Amino acid sequence: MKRKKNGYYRIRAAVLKAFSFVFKAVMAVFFLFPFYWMVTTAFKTYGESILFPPTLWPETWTMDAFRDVGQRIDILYYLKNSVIVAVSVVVLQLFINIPAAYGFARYEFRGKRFFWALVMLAFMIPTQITFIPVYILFSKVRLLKTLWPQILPFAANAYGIFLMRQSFMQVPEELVEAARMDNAGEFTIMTRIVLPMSRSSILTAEMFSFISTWNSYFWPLVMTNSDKIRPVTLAMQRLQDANQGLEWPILMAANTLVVLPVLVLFLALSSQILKSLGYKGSK
Amino acid sequence: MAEIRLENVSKSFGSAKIIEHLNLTIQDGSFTVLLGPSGCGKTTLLRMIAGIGPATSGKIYMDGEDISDVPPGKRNVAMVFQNYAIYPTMSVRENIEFCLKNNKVPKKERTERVERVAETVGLKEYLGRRPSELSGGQRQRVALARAMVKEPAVFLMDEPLSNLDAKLRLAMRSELIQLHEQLKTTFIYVTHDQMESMAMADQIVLMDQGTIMQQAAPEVIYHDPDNIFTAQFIGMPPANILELPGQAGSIGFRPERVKLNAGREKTGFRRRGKILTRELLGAEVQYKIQIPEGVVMVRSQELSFRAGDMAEIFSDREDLYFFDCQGKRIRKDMARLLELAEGRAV
Amino acid sequence: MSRMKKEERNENAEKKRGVSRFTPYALIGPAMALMAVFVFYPLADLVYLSFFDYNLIGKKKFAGLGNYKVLFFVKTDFWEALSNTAVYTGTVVVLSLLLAVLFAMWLERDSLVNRFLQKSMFTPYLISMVSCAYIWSWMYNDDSGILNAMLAMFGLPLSRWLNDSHIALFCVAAVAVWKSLGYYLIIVLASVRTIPPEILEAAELDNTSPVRKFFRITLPMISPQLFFLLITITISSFKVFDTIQVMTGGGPGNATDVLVTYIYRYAFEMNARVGYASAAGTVLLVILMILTFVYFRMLGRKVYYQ
Repeated sequence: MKRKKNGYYRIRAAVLKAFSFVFKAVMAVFFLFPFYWMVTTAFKTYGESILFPPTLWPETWTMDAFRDVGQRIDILYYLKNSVIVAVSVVVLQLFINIPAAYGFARYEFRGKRFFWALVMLAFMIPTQITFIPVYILFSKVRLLKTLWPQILPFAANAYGIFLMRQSFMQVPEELVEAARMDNAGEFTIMTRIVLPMSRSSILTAEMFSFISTWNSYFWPLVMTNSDKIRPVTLAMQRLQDANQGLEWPILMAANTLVVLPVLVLFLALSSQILKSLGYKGSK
Repeated sequence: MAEIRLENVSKSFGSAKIIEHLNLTIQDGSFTVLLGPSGCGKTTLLRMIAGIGPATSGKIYMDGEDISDVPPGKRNVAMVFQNYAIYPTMSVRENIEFCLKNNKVPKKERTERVERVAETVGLKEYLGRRPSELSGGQRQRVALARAMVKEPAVFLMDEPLSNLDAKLRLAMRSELIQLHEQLKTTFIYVTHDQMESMAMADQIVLMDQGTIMQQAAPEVIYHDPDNIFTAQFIGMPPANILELPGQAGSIGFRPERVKLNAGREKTGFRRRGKILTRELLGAEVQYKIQIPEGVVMVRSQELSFRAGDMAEIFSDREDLYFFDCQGKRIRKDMARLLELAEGRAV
Repeated sequence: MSRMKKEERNENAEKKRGVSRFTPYALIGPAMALMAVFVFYPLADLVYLSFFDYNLIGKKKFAGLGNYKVLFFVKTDFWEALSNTAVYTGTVVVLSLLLAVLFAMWLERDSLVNRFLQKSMFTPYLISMVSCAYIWSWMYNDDSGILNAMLAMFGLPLSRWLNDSHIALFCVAAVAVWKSLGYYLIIVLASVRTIPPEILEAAELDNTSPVRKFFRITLPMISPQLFFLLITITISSFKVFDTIQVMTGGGPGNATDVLVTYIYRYAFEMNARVGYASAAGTVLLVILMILTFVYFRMLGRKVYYQ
């Protein structure tokens, strides 16, 4: 085995480290740049936005684009629709997924395996498969002009049930038995012992439901016939259609308004989110 | 074969300083045991030598050559890990052969060396097996074989026997001693088990809180401790330490160096006390005795005492250790201290 | 045997506690009912509809396998959509997995810099696909997009990006990779970190080159998670819609038309040929079923674990 002098390895390690650091910086820029570009474009004048080559830093800062967004569409109204839909889904899921997950986790009953297989099947069927029949269904019951088509189909979420069941099953049986010996009823056991111990799983599941509903585009596109009930993700399209020749600052301003809350929320919670995701991923 | 020298090495994890300014020389061909309670930095030290947990500052020399920044694979050392760290995706043969392949040893020589080593550790029939099919003892042999096949200048072992059951541990212990006799290579062995260190080492490096408390041969460490820590860490049960009056320091003696109801002709430490408990250890008995200065442990072949009996303990002046207030051994001017100790004899 | 006893004991205990036999059914009932209405019924209805001519308004007319015949043998646009979807999926899967693994090896150590980069990479995952699509449309813009500006800066010929039918599909695929790579990275990293560090250290002591260490030790040990990702990414790529709809609308020509935009177009835009769209939907269903089946078969065999 040939060994070089200590100094060689010292320099090699230092060079590699420096190189790696530079490349990491480049990558961070690559992944964050689109957001930077979105925000700076939103503050540019229309004239500056179509300059070629573009300016990396706006020469004149203007809020015009944001004002125009407000003039063209009632963005608050669409944001309100998004909030109503996302919150309703999350709340409904609490009342439907948690009991179901609890039933699967802690009871034995006839047909359990069959029902569980159905849940797993539902887990695998994407909305892109079911949308035609569901659309026909809602049109038959005349609910297409309401927000229900965006809410009801997601009230039961197979993924959420799966995740929470896993976590409910991890509560040790001894603990539940101890509670029974302390004369706790079934409901008390669920609300005072099992649910608090599974809090992080429930939070993760609910958070992802919220984000995916908030971000959804395909389903509301298919299920809505009128502007009144559209979420903000679809409203963006009207900015695009509303004029001939795209005005990018306006589109980016609208996007900034939609993206910013999520970005801020993430920066506040990022460590926690990454940890719970990593934990889930490793299983 | 190699001498390892650590010069002024420090290691910290974040703000926690594990080792500060440590100097140590490990002689070529010695069986050196790094001994100490958990968290004392002995494994950290071993990992520094291996190169898998480099020192924060300081230099490491191997036969006089600086290897501080040399990657582990180029250091010509082999390591046996506590949990063996066997590659789970490879067969036993592949495990042993892996390093030779990495070092581009020709196939013929490779096979020869693998089989010779497998023969030595008794794994010949298991070469085709997967690690998951092996017992704990067999895995430990794979780990050993993997280290041996490299023919390294230094063997590093991190509590390699701690995951084995008691019987197997004893058997492997003597095999390792034998192996060292055969190879005459430097062995650096980490353990927290003082019995193991006594049995195997020709040099013990006793550590506590990142510093070396004493480095010496096992006999010296046992009979001639440099400080209270060494006296108390080594020995079963640990040495009795009693404070001397007037903040003069303390006195210590080993439980097995105490006579019960001995004659009065010799000078030494003598007290009367009440036996609190009696534990039979087979040929010997361990007594816990209350004397005016505190509680002492005594190991004696005198089986007849019972709990509640009164007895006189006596430790010869030859067997007494004196320590200063910092816990360091006092080796000079002990007459006054002896008087102090004797002066209160009943 | 002991399991039966345990169940029996549980049942007895449950009776004593006054838990009715119907309690579990009451618990799972609402969820199962909703799934029946919004998943299982539509599933059956989709297959059923695929055998009819139906335009939402008129009467259903039984067409037998007619829709499938048109799908596969008469029109060529379905094949185009299918092959586009396959190319798109292949691109996204290969790039995502490759990059996720590379980045995971590179960011394996948990340091401040690495954590920051990991966070930066994860950020796009939380943003809606639509927003991402708009932002990238703007960057891909022919006239004043930043990407062309960069090409110009280096003196390279400008590209037409989304308007170039040869590369439009790959441009859209790049957005999908950019958006989700951070998430895949987290999963791969988590599984890399479950490898006992001693094993990697032992490899280092054995003078293993980094490349060899990766192929002989790391890769085999993370293969179950990689396989899980492979299937997840494949399935999610097969249902791509949002980016295509926003960025290209399936164009130029049919260059980026994929299965779901195809189904959507026929169901809602082209005279509502619902039966025909359902047939295409059924094909997508079958593809997803096969993928899922393969996944569970392979999982049963366990790719590798001690």
